[in-house]
Amino acid sequence: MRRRDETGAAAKAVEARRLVKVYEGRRDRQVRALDGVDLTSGQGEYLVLLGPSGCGKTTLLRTIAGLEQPTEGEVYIGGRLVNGLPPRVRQVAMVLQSYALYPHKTVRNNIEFPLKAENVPRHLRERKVRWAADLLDIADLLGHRPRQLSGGERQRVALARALVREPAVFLLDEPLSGLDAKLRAATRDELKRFQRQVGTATIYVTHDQEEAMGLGDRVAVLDAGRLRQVGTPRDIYDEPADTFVATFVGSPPMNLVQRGDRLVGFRPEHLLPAENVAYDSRVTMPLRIERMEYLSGDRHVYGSVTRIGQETRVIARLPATVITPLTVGETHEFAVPTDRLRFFDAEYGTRTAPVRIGG
Amino acid sequence: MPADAGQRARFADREGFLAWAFLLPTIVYLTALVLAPFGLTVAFAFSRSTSEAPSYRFGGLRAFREIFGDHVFWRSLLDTLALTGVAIAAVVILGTVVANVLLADFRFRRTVRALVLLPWTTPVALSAISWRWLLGSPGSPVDRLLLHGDSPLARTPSAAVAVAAVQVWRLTPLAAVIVMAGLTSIPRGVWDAALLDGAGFWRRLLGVTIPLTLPVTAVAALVTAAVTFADMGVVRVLTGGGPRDSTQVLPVLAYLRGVEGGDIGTGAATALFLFPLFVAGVFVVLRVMRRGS
Amino acid sequence: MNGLAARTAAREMDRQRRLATLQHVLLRATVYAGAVITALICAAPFLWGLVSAFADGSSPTTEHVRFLFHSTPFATFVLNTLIVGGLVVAVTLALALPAAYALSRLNRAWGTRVAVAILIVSLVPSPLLFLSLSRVVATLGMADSIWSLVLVYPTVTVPVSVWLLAGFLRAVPVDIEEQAMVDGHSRLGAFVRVVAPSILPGVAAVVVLTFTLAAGEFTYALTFVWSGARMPVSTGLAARLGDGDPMLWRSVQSGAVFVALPLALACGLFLDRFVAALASGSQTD
Repeated sequence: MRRRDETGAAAKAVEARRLVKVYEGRRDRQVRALDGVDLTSGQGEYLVLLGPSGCGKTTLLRTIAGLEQPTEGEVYIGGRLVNGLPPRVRQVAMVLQSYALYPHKTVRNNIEFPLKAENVPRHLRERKVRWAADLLDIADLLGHRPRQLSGGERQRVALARALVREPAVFLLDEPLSGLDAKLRAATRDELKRFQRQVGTATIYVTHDQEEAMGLGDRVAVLDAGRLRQVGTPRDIYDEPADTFVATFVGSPPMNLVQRGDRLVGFRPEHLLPAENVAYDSRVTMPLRIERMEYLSGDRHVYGSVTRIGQETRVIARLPATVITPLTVGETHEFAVPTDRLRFFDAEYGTRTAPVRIGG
Repeated sequence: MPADAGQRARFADREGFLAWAFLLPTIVYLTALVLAPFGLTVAFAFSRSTSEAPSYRFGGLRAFREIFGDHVFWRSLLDTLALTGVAIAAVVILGTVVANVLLADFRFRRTVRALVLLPWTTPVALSAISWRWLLGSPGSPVDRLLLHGDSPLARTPSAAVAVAAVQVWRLTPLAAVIVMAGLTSIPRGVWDAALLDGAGFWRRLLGVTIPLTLPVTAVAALVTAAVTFADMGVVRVLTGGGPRDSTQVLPVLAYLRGVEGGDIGTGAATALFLFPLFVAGVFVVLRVMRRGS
Repeated sequence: MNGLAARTAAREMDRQRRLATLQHVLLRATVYAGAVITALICAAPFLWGLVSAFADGSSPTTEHVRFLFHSTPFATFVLNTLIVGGLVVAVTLALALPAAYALSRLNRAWGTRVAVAILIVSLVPSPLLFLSLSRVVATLGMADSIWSLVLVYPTVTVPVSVWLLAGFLRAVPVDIEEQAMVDGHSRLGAFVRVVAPSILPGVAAVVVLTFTLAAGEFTYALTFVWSGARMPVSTGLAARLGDGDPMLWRSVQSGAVFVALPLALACGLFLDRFVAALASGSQTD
């Protein structure tokens, strides 16, 4: 029934229009945490907000949740304007970075709390708690208190608490940052599977590009309160909209070489010894090798290139299949396929049309 | 010389030694000037010592027989208990309200905070003087309000109310500071979570805020009790125990008997009746600490 | 059907929005009203004191204040309080700082027990002690002198200060201390050169609190010191109070304000720090 009512807005779970959030900082300094953000997330979509710390991604999430009110602009959830509405009527569920479990309540009471707030009758409450606990595999923890749980278990309890409200959208604020590396990988996998299972639109905030690229149907890259690019992980990686996205995403980051009023960009894995680049259309450049690292079978070659532009330090990532012998101190001819080159305005950093480079 | 330096370094590095060396002065001082005098007070309560003949003479239960026959003692005991009870209840409630106000964001917050501290930072005798002037002197606002000279401090129920009110006025800021500490130590995320979970004001208050601040509220109540039942400044300056001993409390009575009256024995015996209250306080402290850990 | 449902939903949204706005406005109004009422009640006697001290009928006057300084020993009382307060602060820091350090850093099995014992000592009511302490003071030849107060006041201030300072010390990362020890200082040296300076603001807060407690103490001051010129301000003004003389009342009143305001301002500066110390104490225990 509810689903059908929303058919008019079916494609959009959350929409933010020209959102601006200004904080009054110390000594009357104003901080523009959000500076005109337009963003739409689709039904059932996994949208990841990616950006360095302080870029405004958490503010954006909190504004959507209703924990902050925007200075300007509108937020729509399920097609309805929700500005001025408190979080509880917005049909959102949020998992905070700290999980924010109520320390004095048992796991069961934690999960039950939002249902009690909605005055759900007892037998229904019990059934829902059981359902969420089974789904997240925490049924045997229901009697424990948060301080007796491990980080991963706390996270699942927080998820269960968010889940029982059957929200229109899940908002997750760096839910993996409190876990150790090993657990993080496993939980990432679980989160994705869980979201597929419930099918609820999810907005996920992180500063970790691996998480973003791995989880997101689409990724929105934010910097300094502005949206830099929104697209599939593949778009973000292959077709960065500007130099910020190009260098923020990818490890090691994209190489940028200045050539006149342009920056020529290419990924480290596309810069290979010339004899390994069999394309007809390619750009070659001499690379003076300064240092090499062996990482998981790959060779990372650090050095500086000339000819295609100003002399610039770059990184080349050679897969194990490239067996060309290289030694530190020598200068070797490297090449990049022409269709792998990206061009940016040297002054503004924005993407520009390709330029012909000879050689 | 180098050997000497090495010796000193080793000495200063030994943790056990340092811990003792650092704690010992405090322990010795507190033992000498709190525990020993406390024992002495107990001893005095079973003595016939007076300020003319201060050397110890055992007197058995003489002092107790004397104070039990004194209706002012019973009156004071009752007043002390009632005053402490009323002060705890009022101070905890008002302190919680004030703490929430002081933590909210508003203009002139710094000014308001400094003003709110006035009652607690001002020496008790001075603020009691101010209140006495305000309530009981000719030409004061209250005097003009009442249109006749009979001061509220000179009549029976109102004098006791005034004592309790000044005590509450004085201790609410202290309780507010303690409760503020409890409120700020709750992680911010928990508030957000309660909002997101759709809890309304009352549910947030009863389901989250009060349970989480309960330990610190207990501390505030305890401090209030400890200060109230031991205080003699307010009663001494505001009413002097009157009218007709109706606002007398144990500490002031102990002072009147033991110092002004010169009968150290009865003074000590009177003061000793504060001991059960002290023990109750200690019991609460231990309970709160055990629950906290 | 669909349109009707949508319209009903929209109306419900509008209602919720108005409700939320109303709640917000009410909350702000409550906060401001609460702040104003609280501030007024707290400051009431002092405001009245100021008014009556400087106003005579409708014309302003400094007569009462001049009377306070020239014809009463108010200045002497204040000086006595300053001397006692300063010395008590010194004694308190000398005792409490090392003790707090021992409790917060040097983990011993009995550390917690000592901490609890010190806390309990701070609850011992002064009426249980003043009779015996007056004997002690008399035996030491300090009767009717401010030295008796310097001797006894730290029983009140040391336990509180130990607890506050231990809270501040716990907030200092152990790393910087260990760094200092790696850099060649002994544990004692690390404390003096690295730890103590980094809690200076906390120490300042404790200084203000200790001074305030010493200035406000009444029971011991009343019992141990009885000669007019030797009294501190807390008992001196009350003792000087003649009943019924409006002239003296007003002077005494202005004296109370002169003492109250600086203390409140000083404590106000450190309010956030007290709150932080108490909060950290309640979290780690």
